[in-house]
Amino acid sequence: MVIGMQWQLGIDLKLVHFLVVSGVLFCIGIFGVLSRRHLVQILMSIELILNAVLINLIAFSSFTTPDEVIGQMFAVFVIVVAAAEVGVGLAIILSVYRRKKSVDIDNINILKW
Amino acid sequence: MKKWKKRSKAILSFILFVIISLILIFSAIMVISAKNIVHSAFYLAVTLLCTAIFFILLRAQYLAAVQILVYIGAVVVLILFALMLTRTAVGQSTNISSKQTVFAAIVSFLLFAALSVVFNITNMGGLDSVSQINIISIKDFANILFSKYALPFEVASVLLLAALVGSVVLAVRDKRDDKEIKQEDNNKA
Repeated sequence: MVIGMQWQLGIDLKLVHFLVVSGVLFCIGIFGVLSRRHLVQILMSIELILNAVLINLIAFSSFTTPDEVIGQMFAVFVIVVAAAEVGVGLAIILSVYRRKKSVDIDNINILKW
Repeated sequence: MKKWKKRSKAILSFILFVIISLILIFSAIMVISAKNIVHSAFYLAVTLLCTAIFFILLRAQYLAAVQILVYIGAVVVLILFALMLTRTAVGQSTNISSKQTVFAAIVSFLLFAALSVVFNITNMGGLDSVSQINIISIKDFANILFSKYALPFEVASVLLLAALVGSVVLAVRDKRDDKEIKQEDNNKA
């Protein structure tokens, strides 16, 4: 395998194009989760990460198993779990806000002793 | 003539891909760097819309529709409601980044470098171009979902029910809770 073969980015859309964009999106999401202070913003960064994963799943599904829909099925279930996660996460944020009157992650140290 | 038509189609979808991915990355950066948190929620909607267009480029029309319905229709609205209910400094430029920004930047950059190396040296296989993907109709999709994947479908419905009940339990205002918080405040004072 010659190194650099995948980077021959022609005019045709290939699998690697989608993978690079979803990699960028994933890294932006990781940066957001690690560096932001607002709880809701961290939740939004998690959404970015999940979307990068979705692009990956569907790209691999379309390119490597074009006759089956394994990756797309998986993506449907990822969307379901993401919706449930957002619902529960925002409920937790509301309840934390009610108790601490703040959504700044630096002020939330209830589990720390 | 037919070949030329095919070629121009490929060029068009490539240009569309480049434009959409630039918008996607810009709005994703704005999601985490916008000073006003409400703006970052709207930028999140733009990001999700661009993802849906990616799905259409990948010939997954059904998932593009689901993406717009579930994410933009439900998740972004839910986030905006949470922002409204927590009433935190809307419209103010607050100090949004924590102390570990530099560290986080290094980690995410290293992660991207590692990913690029992996993309570079791996032979992915599969089709050569996006134009060779055949569209799977919603009918076939539904047939597979309700036959082969019926059990995961049921489990997902149970998960959604559990999430519904759980978020109601978490978010409901408990009178006893309010009393405790008041007592704590009094103790502090």
